[in-house]
Amino acid sequence: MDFQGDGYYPDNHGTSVASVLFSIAPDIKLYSAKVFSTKKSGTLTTVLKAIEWCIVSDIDLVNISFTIKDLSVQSIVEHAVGSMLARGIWTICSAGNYGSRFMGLPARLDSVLTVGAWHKNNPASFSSRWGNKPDCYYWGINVEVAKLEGYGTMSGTSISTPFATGLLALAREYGILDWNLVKYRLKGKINPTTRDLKMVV
Amino acid sequence: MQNRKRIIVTDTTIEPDEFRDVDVIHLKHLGIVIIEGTTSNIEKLIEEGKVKQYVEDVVVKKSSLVVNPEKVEYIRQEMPLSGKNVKVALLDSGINTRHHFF
Repeated sequence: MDFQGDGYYPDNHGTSVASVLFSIAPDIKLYSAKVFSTKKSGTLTTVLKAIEWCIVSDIDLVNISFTIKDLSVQSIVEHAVGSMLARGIWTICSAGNYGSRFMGLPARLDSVLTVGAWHKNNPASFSSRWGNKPDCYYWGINVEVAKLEGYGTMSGTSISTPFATGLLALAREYGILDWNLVKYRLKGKINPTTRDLKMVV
Repeated sequence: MQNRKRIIVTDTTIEPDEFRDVDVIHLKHLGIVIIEGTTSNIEKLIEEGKVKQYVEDVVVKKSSLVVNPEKVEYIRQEMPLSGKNVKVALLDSGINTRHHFF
């Protein structure tokens, strides 16, 4: 679905994020909301329209691999994400790549699961850090992905986030519906697995 | 309608032009020949020894294409789950759904 109104064109970022998500949870039903324009930027109104569409479409999980820098809109974003959570829609979002300098929206909200990027040679990495965020970390440097054409690698919290979304898709299929329990069990974890959510065969 | 069959021939000594009653695609850059025809015609070719090194075509499912397979296995911890019936929205840029990965 194109929320920018400039046509649904494919792009590296969305393709790469989707490839990681599909690798973990290949049988999900994917809803693609294009919220970036041809200039690779979006607006809050576009994002809000997409969130409304997620609610109407009875989505289970929303993957957000971008951050909004303008904190003056925090109350609106918090309301939108909270409206989804009230309907059982979980939001998983990237922490951002600003190190300890800054964390944007919706990453800094308690109502989302915020995912940082981790690498064994650089534990602190470039992930945004703020308060008790990120909630958990996944691989985020030189991750193998599908590109617009062929394959390649991608680094950053954008690509660590679909690992968490994939895990939560498995959790939803398993029947786990308690958001607070999920967040509690994943808190502070590096590369969490189904075992961290106490999912057993 | 007769059952059709497709085989992938890696015997580079064959001459595709000598085959009749079947469709032949010669992938010259790969050194591979794909032969498609009715099951009986394909089996006849094999029985006559006209093709030797070959494999039968197989279906490639979406789920068999994986990036970061070791990470995926690590996350799943052998759980037989795939996200079935879970609806996930990506608020992102567009996806190249024609990419063979998908």
